[in-house]
Amino acid sequence: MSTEDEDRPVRLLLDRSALEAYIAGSVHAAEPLHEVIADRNRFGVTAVTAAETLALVDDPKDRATLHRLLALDACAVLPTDGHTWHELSYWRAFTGRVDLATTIMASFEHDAAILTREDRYGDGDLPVILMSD
Amino acid sequence: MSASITTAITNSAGPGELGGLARIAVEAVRLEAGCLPAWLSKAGPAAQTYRPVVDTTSWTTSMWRCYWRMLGGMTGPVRKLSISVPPDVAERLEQEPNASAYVTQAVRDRMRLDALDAELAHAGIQITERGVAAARARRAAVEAEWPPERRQEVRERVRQHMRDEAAGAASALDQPAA
Repeated sequence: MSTEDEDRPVRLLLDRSALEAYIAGSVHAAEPLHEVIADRNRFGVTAVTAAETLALVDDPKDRATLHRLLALDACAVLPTDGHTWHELSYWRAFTGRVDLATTIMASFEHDAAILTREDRYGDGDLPVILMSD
Repeated sequence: MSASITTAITNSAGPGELGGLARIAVEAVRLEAGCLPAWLSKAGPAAQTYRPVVDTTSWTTSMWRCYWRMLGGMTGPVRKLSISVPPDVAERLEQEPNASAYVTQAVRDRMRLDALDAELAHAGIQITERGVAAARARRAAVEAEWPPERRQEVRERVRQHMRDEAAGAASALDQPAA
């Protein structure tokens, strides 16, 4: 990835439910992706979320779809810093899942919204875009 | 001298030529020692290595500075191109201190969108302009609700909570066993 690409901000984060929706062919996942790239931004997926989603997807065609999405130039696969483990543990307890906790941490790090179908982010407690079914 | 990296963009045709299109020539060659103004010796190794093949005899100091700034932003492998653009695009590029980087970024932005659209087509997902506009509005609403200050407040509250928890755990160790 070039330096110029790295300068494009990450403005949207996909959690596991959003990735699963994309794999299932949801237009409600696709349109936010198109929008964020058209506006010269990138979308992000934490490495933990990518690994967790891939672990739950068995169908080879679906796995290929996920691989292609994550390989897009506009997709940033994001790390979770070790020094944030206290905050991470808080959000792990809050959501009940570590992959969601890493997504929350990334949303703070990048000032990005979270695209999701989950109801584990509280009620107005976090910058969440709830997808339609 | 050997052809090397893309470095300079100059109009090689005036207004009205080429059917109203401005022709942009992009070329560079490896520099032979001692070919540049003395002040360029302070511009770093890249500046001392390459120069444009276009005629630079009439270049002003500011043009040279612009050229080396552009060179500094294009450090990867590149290819020379000769393209034609409408006058309005040429005028816009002429305002850019680094037109090559500007064009590169614009094309890469478009490539990213094309790559996603190809993926969506491959997956049989049909998006609509209306749906994209709605998605844009939803994200804008969330961003308006969550300015950086609010995010920072939440983070700080969580950090304080965890500090209190850690302090409580430490003080519990100091208590004598019952």
